[in-house]
Amino acid sequence: MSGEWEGDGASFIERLRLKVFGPPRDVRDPGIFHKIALIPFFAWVGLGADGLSSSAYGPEEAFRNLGTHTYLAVFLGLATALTVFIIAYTYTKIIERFPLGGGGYVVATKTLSKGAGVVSGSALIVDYILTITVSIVSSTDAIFSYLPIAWEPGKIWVTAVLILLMVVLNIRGVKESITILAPSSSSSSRPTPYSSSTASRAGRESRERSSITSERASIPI
Amino acid sequence: MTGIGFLGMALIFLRAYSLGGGTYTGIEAVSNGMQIMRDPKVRNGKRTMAYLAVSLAITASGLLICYLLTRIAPEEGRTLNSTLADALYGGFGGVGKVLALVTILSEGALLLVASQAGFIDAPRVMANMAVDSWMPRRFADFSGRLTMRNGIVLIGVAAIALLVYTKGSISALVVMYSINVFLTFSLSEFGMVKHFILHRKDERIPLRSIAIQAIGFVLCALILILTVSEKFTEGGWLTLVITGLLILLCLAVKRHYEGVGAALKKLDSLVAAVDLEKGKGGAGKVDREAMTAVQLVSGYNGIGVHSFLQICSAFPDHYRNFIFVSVGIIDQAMFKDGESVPELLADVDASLRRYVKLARKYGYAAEGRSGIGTNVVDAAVDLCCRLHEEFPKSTIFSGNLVFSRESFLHRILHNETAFAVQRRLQWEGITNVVMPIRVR
Repeated sequence: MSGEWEGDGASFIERLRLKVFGPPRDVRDPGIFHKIALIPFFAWVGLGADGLSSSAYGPEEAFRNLGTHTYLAVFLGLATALTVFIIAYTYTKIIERFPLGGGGYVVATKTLSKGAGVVSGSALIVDYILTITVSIVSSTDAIFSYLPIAWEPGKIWVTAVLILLMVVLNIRGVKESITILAPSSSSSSRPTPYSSSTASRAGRESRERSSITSERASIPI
Repeated sequence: MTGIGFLGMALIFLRAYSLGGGTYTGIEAVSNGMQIMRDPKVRNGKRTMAYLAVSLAITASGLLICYLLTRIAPEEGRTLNSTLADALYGGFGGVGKVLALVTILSEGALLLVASQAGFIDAPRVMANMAVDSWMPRRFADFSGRLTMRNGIVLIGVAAIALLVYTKGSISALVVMYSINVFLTFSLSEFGMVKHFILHRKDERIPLRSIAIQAIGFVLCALILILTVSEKFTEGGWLTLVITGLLILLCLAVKRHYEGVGAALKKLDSLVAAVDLEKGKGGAGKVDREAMTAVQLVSGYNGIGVHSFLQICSAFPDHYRNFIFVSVGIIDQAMFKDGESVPELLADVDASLRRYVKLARKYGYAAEGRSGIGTNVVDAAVDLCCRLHEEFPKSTIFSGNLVFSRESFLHRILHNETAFAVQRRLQWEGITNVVMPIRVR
């Protein structure tokens, strides 16, 4: 199937598309999920970085809001550390109870109600969109701290280009996008067998007619 | 410490504490992205969480103390962290400058990696919601769409839109961000408190756990309320509006699917009707060389019976054999429900037997073939290819929903499994007919 993309007859746009997004994957390749699923180390880098990186903008916002009362930073530091541990503790419990992931959406759906679930899920989706914007804006803020202040107007453009770059990397496949950004050290490690329940559940769900009235499809505790 | 009194000090502290809520964002990413953890998932997930908590607590509180100790003041066009890096390494001359630059550049790189969490987790939340019909089902079709191209593009476009709207102001963005994060935090923690209280006896949950969970909920709710009330006019309203619109959209999608489900239910009356019908009899054994209709079915229901009758009337006296194909989908959800693979196969085979009985009643030679897999398209195509070798004169039949007024929305909300199968089968040189299932 991939042959049709590589033919001489392919237009410039098609060849460009191939270069940027990578060749279309062979959907019949049984190893495809090994390639899409993340090697845990990269998953850890990708997911862990989200939490740690918030120290780039969180403490700053808190400190700026102390105004002249900077001495309160001592208590703020203690309260921050304590809060991190409490939230992490509660989320560890969530991982224990809901090991298939889904986080806030699944927790709210299963423990409260479907309505609470949809509120939590929608908030989460907007949350992740903001994760992207906030992280990349904060990243360019950091870099522009060392550039002349006259260049400041260019910041928003650089940010937009970086977001686009991330989109392109992700279309090439989740794995590659972290391998480019993280030091590659575990290329020899065994790929994880893909056991995501989303995909398999999705497979079942995608058969429209079987599932349309099925409640069983929801995520288990 | 004079002048404002204890109450004033407490208020300033609370305000700074809640507006610094951005610090805690991202802790939820691990629990949402569990699917990409290597087995044992729970242990790896908990370990990741522990590393994350320790590193974040040290970094965040350390930074706050350092800001205080170095007595730095915010500078125009610079982050506090870069000012801090300069202050800390300032005494080392040229080497110090390089060190500060390296520190901040690696911070920038870390942030870039962090943005990846959004791309990993957002499609997964969307997939989870799609499974429950809150989102277009095609978002659940992770395997079909490969890396969820559409979802990623959509998320990227939304991220850029937010960038443009806020003109890249980190303060405004962090406010919006923490409101959303703390909305899910509060709901999750409230849910967990409720769950713990309900199950404290049968799961033997120590009181301490419940107490920490409850404290967590109170803290999160407090930060949420303070941030919303403090920053409502500065982006707070916008994030609530965006999230509210998304919720409305989800409700509309769900309503549509439920409507279609109700319409399809009407077809089930066919099942009862054909059961009453008297058989023609005369069904023999399947003949490998005879014309064969292979019908993809899922469970014995009105839709399958409808398609069967349709094939009979569209191609009268054409086919001699009917082979029914059904795929059982294995997933962890199934194991959690206490259903085992043999049980799943037994379910699939039981419904296949009913189809075989039906076809025999109509005078056809019939058999059933069941398969098992994690992806319905893969498993179905695989079965069909093998069947086609066995029955060279076979045609594959599958069903697809058709609406009287097919709008743009229908095309988004209804995935085309039948067409995905068809594309693959046609590539293998196997004829596949997609039968319409009309939805009024």
